[in-house]
Amino acid sequence: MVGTSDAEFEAFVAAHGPGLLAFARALTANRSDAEDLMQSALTSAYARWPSIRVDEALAYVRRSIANGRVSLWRRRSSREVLGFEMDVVSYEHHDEDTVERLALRAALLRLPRGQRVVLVLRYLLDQSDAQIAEILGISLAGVRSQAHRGLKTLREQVESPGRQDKDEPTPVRRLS
Amino acid sequence: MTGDPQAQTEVLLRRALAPLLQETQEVPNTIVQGAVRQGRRRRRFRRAGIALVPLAAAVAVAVTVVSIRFSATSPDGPPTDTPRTKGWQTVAESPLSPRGNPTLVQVGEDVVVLGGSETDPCPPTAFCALDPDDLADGAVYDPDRDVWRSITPAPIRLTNISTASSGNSVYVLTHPLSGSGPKQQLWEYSLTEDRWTQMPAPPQPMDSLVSAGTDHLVAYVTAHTKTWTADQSYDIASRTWRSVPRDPLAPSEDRNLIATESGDLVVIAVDRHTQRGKPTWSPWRTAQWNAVTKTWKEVPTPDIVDSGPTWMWVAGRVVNPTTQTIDLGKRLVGTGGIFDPADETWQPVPSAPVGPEGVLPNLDSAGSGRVFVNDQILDVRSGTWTQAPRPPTRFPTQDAAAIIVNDRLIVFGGATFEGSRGTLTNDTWVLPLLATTASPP
Repeated sequence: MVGTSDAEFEAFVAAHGPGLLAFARALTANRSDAEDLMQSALTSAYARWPSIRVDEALAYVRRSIANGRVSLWRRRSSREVLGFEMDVVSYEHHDEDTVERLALRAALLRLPRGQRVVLVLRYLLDQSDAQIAEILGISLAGVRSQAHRGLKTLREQVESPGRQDKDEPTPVRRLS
Repeated sequence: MTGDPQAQTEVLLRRALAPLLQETQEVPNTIVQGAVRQGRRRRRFRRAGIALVPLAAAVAVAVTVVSIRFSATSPDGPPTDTPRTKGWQTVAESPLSPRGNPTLVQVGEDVVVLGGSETDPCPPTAFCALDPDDLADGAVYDPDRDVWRSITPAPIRLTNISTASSGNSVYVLTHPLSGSGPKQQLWEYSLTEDRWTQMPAPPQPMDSLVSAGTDHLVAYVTAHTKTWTADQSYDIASRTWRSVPRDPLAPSEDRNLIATESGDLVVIAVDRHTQRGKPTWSPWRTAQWNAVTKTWKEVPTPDIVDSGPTWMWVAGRVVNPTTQTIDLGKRLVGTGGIFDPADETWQPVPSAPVGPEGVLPNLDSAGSGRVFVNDQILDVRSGTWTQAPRPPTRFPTQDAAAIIVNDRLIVFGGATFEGSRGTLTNDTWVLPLLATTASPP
């Protein structure tokens, strides 16, 4: 590896790492999974670093995080596939505001992958719909459709916390 | 909640997510160091793969490819020389998530990847229920430029589908799993417009879809189990279905319908079994539909029997590449063959070399004049077999999909296993298929 490339990579991580890790945190149920996901995405980026333009790297890593989520989960239990195994949080000593925030994050984790990724890019990283379409390589209409469906489900979850999204993944029944 | 509920949800969501940015001020050093360490290993792997290509090419040129004469029946003697191809290469990372059992369709020079499943891969020794959460997304891979692009997700789950391509579109025929679900649907995905459009479904449920000529699709049933059902021809321009006249083999089972570029049809099938439960070896029969005269006729078929594998359209011929022979007591019969509908002649499948068994998962595919089956590549025109190189350890062992496009075998997705624990992949592997130099037999 050329020293300049290493320096560029380190500068990239220093500049964008916190945002990327927050992105991974929002998509996963706990810090450990987020860090695994982050490392996996950075590994892919580093392996291709000489051929990735610096200005393309951010979108590349965001896309890797968005797509890499599932492979991480595949190695885990079905409980985590559903996103239920969050960092242990006690609701007892929190105010109503905090409880609402945590409930919304839990609801976010129950959304289908595409909807969740779009909402996190939009409301955590403040990406425009056009930017999200470019990052994920999908159409603008696709972004808006995913966002609309995700928000609708979240709203229903907030209004009726007991109800789960009908698209929520169902654990596969293994017969033997 | 009061006011605009969507706006309130947006506000709540921003507030719920904002603390994550405050909590993550910097990336732990262990993550960066781990990424650099693993990234370096991955780079070395890639470089090794690239460096091997010129060497493999040189070796391949030096090897004289042995022309294997078509023998009358059995593959009883492996050839002495087994040419090899270039090695497996990984290519650009796809925008799709890791998955098993995607569907690959060729459109022009591109490969369209559709659907698949993110469910935990089923271990080879287990029996698993069907996945209710198959995917609806897809992507297009351009092998010449080694570039991927995502496509608009389908409005339906791309599960249990049959596909065909015509022009710059992919056609997807769904297969409902139960009578209570939605009825069979036909969808068109236009690569030009990146848009899905629902088309009229066939009037009766069909099993499989093929393109016929440049302007038609044909949907057909794979078995006349209880009664004869007319296959259906779809006019793409007028979006109308018409019944295909009854073929002379009907009623039949294990039906394979192949459509040629000119719109002719070939049906290869066996008679409907009359003695249920008794193992029998049914002889293949062949019928041909002439698109100009609009007539069927049965074509004499050699003494070959049905052992299961399907027939493929490649190099202007209908090919079943199996070289298995069956001992019927009084005689040995083959199970595969090569039919040329242009002159209505048959040739036996050339003897195949004996290679390492079970190295690759089921990646049977056809294209670019070749058939890939059981780790071997048959060049249909020259009648030569080539042994595929042994794949690297990271290669999927099941649930991958394969297609041959423009002299490349392309494999996407699938799963690798450590014991009974499987991991899905979204890797794309490419095996360049060297042109064989053998002359026709």
